[in-house]
Amino acid sequence: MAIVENEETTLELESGEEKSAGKPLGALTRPQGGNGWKDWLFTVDHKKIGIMYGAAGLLFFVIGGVYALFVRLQLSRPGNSILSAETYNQVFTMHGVVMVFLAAIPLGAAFANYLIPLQIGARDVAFPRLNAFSFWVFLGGGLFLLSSMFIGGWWENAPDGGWFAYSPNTGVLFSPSKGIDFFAIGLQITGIASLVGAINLIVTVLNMRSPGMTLMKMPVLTWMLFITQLLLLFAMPVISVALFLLTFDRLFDANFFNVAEGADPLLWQHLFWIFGHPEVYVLILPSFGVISEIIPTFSRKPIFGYPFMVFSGIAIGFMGWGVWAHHMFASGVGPVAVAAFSVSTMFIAVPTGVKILNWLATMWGGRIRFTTPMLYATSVVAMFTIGGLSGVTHSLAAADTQQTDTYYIVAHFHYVIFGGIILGFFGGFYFWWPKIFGYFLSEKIGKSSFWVMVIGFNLTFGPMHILGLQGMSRRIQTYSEGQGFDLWNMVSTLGAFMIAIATAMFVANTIISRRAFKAGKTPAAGPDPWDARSLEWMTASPVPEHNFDEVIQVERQDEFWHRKWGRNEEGQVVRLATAEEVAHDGSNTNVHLPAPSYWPLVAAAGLPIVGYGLIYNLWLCVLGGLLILGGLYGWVFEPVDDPNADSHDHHDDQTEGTELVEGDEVLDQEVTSE
Amino acid sequence: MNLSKLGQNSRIKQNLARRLSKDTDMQSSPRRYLKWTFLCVITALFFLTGCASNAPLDSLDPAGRKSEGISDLINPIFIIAGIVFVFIQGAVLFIGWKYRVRAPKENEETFDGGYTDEEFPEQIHGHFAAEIGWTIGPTILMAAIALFSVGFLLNLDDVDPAPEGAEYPEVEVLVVGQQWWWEYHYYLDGVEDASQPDFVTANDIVIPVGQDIKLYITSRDVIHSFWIPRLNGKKDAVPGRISPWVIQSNEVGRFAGQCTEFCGLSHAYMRMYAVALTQEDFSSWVDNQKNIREPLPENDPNYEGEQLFITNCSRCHVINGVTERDVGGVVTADNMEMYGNIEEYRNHADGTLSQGKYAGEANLTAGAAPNLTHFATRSSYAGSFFELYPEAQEISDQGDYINLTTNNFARGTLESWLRNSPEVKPNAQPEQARGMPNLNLSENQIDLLVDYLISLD
Repeated sequence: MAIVENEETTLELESGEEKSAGKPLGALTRPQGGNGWKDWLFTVDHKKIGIMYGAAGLLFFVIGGVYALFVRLQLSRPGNSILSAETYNQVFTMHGVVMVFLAAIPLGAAFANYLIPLQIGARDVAFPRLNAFSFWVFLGGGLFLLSSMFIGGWWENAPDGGWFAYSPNTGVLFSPSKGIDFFAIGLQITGIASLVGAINLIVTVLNMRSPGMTLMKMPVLTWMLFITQLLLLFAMPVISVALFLLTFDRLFDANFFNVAEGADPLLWQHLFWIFGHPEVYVLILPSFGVISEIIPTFSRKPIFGYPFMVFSGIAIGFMGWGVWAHHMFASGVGPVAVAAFSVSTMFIAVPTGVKILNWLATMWGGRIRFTTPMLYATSVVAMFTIGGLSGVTHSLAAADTQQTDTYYIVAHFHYVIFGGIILGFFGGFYFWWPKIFGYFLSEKIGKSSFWVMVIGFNLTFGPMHILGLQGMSRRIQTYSEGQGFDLWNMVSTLGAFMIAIATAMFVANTIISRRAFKAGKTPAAGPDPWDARSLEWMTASPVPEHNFDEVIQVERQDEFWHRKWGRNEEGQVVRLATAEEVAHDGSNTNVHLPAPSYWPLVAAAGLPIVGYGLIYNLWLCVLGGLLILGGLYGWVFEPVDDPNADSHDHHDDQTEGTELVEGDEVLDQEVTSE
Repeated sequence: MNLSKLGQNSRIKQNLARRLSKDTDMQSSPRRYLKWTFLCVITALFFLTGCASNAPLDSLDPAGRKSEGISDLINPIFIIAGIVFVFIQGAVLFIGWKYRVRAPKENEETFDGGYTDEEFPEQIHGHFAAEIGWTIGPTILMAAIALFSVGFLLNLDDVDPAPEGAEYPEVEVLVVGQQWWWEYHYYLDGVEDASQPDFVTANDIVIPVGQDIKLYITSRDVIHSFWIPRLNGKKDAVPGRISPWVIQSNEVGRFAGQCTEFCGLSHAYMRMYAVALTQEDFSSWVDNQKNIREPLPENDPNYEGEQLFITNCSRCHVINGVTERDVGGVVTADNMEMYGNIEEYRNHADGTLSQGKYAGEANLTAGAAPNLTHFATRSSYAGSFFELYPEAQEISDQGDYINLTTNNFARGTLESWLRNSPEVKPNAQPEQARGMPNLNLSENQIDLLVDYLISLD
């Protein structure tokens, strides 16, 4: 719990000694916040890190989308030759890898980083520097993966084994380019980021909630993100093991997947999917959380069946571990295993169904405002249902032998991932944008882009159901005339471009709205623009660096809402106070905050270098290793605070130790100034 | 008590307010409905016509016992899913429509989103019985589905006895996937020597109609998946493993298939056909396939072509009786011994790992190319990506398949395949020695080879 923080107390003594000895060594002083780009590079502020996760995730989403457009262009007509088979295999692999690992996971991490501390009324995450480290590791791993496009020639060395990378097709014998090496090492690196982030956020949720906020008073979003982090904590090590085996096979001639030496290729499949299926829930649960915040707010009702929402999320988290072999119904794992996983897969539909019905029940009888976030949230309920239903159709393993590895599956998981996750995240962007940046995104552009996106999405992936059932196989670079796939592929390609347009509209919206706000044409958001319910709305927008001016004593679920609204003797809801009255204005500058640090970035920068070293020249590993080591040393030995901590608005160090030890009291009252 | 009354009150008020406020957009809404209905109908028609189009791989158009069983299993589920779909989508639309409050126009850009009032709906936090209901309800539904699906599932690769009068009542075929084509080893019953197949063919798997054919599916290199959608679901071909599977067709005809597990560069081009023939046609087809060739005499018009074949092609391709092959130091002429014992496949069909013939012969793939002994009797070549007899695409019940060679064959396509195969089908030549290389043949050589190949009936 407080181990690391105790460490800081001891370190603080050391830095005290240094201080008494004179000036601290140059590199060992901590950077000071508040000046431009450096502020972002060395930040340990969970909000800045959250924003960077979001920006990086969106950037990767756009890149992955461009890959998708090329895939769709290639498949728009039979016998097309826009991409050669060689390039196509790399492009669709990169599409999957980028979308899953570099877009969906970090976008979830963006919400988690930004919102968890705010929703539980904390000052920051438990380990702020570790948080920065996990972001930079993720970014480094992502860029490392993307660099495979350029290194050694344009589209020569990108991974070409599909995002699932089934052995033995990923062995050196069958995939002699460096692509799979980039895949294995790149994902290893981003895996470290997820793992570190998960540990950090789990500790944060467990230890740093506001006084009075019991677990069952946490907002549903925090709950879902918490479950997500637990899933990551247990799933990431599995893929790490698998990737290590693969890396050793490829780089050091190990024989884990060498069939000629007696290996069983299904080992990879089991390892991959034991990670891969919980991973699906890692992706979807944050989105479930997001819309569980949006729907009550815009229905003017509390979430329906809060405990059921929470426990169905937990149930999904548990059951998610018992269904992995449903990806392998055709692999030959034997009829008994297939039957068992078939049944477990059917039953995982139950908690998901509970969630859907609870969202509908929340909306039922409400006063629904269809703002852009609400449109997105509602569309998740509708679209995810489609993905869920097609999921049930392939839980029947016998039927799945017809469906698996066809476009029917592609349709299914895009309804889940795009319809369930991406639409939810866009809703989340519109919902929290005013909180994060202090201005609204234009509703006009938002609504029109919503419709373009939802229609485009259905045009893209709806026809894939038909294509799949008509026998169009996945991952094929081309098909022939006369196979009956022409029409729907063309429709699907057109739809994909509509999604692209909608995404462009969103990006344009962020720019246009920002300009309009700067020009004074649109109002400032204020702390609580939507009449929302959870604690993040109880502080100024954009959120001040120290989050809350004082510790919030939580008594009820939806504490903020209850401070605004009460009931009169007749039981009617009446206003107790306006949001402005209740919310903190961010004026308390007397808060001690963790100082920025160089070292997370330095340590993180070493990892991709080790990666390149493993692939091209082991000497580079030495360099990377030194960077990591140096980063860790700097991390350990840097002083607790930046040099000016005493003289400006920071809180006296003495109380820090005690303050942080007891997680629940982090935001201990009024902070003493000197 | 009090609460619910209040809820009603506020709802009445709400309705009133809505009715009042709606007066203004009364005119536009019916037209709007009409537009939407129109759009929906058009979309539905669009989808339906799409389904009707002719698709040879259509899994919804079963023609075999297994595929029909799957179809019968899944069709009710599609209907149930359809009902749930309509219910949920309907609920979303209904709730969204009924309980929406519109923002006054002037509020839209102030982002207030519509709550100018302080009116609240009834604050319901949940309903225990409802929650339990929609937890238990779907659970029961799922349990029912599970019950009647698992039984079928456990019998998915069961083999029914052959129909009366079948000349070969127990046909077993070893299906070997490799980059990027399929090989079939036929073990017909009555074979005294189970140590080797009766014959080996490629791309087209020929079966007698109405009879369950037991398949043992494996791979020589990476994972492939064997799928004839109209006859049965798919089964992966995993190197080192033997997976049992069954195909059966209720009608005579040719059924398209496609490798469905991503298997590298030419995955999209790895196809196959299953051809179902009448029992008599199947017998005569078998009789022909069993024939082993003899080297042609020097005065034969195709002698030169055969010599060209031996020099250029026999490193990888086999013509039984003509080419010789060095397998593990043993040079065999009839080339059947190399293919292995059926017992071995039977023994490993339970999922145990096999260290047999096809466990990771990956680096030998250059030595394994389609057996071409009866090349001209097949309807397709090069992983069934090219049709040898385009005119004969529709193989109906007149015994077309055994008389394929009387059709005009697609000479041009075959020539271009021999001229530069990597150009017409992506393959990993020459770096990885998989797929057919460009042999740099002269036009004259190509002509001679084509003549020779098409004589291999």
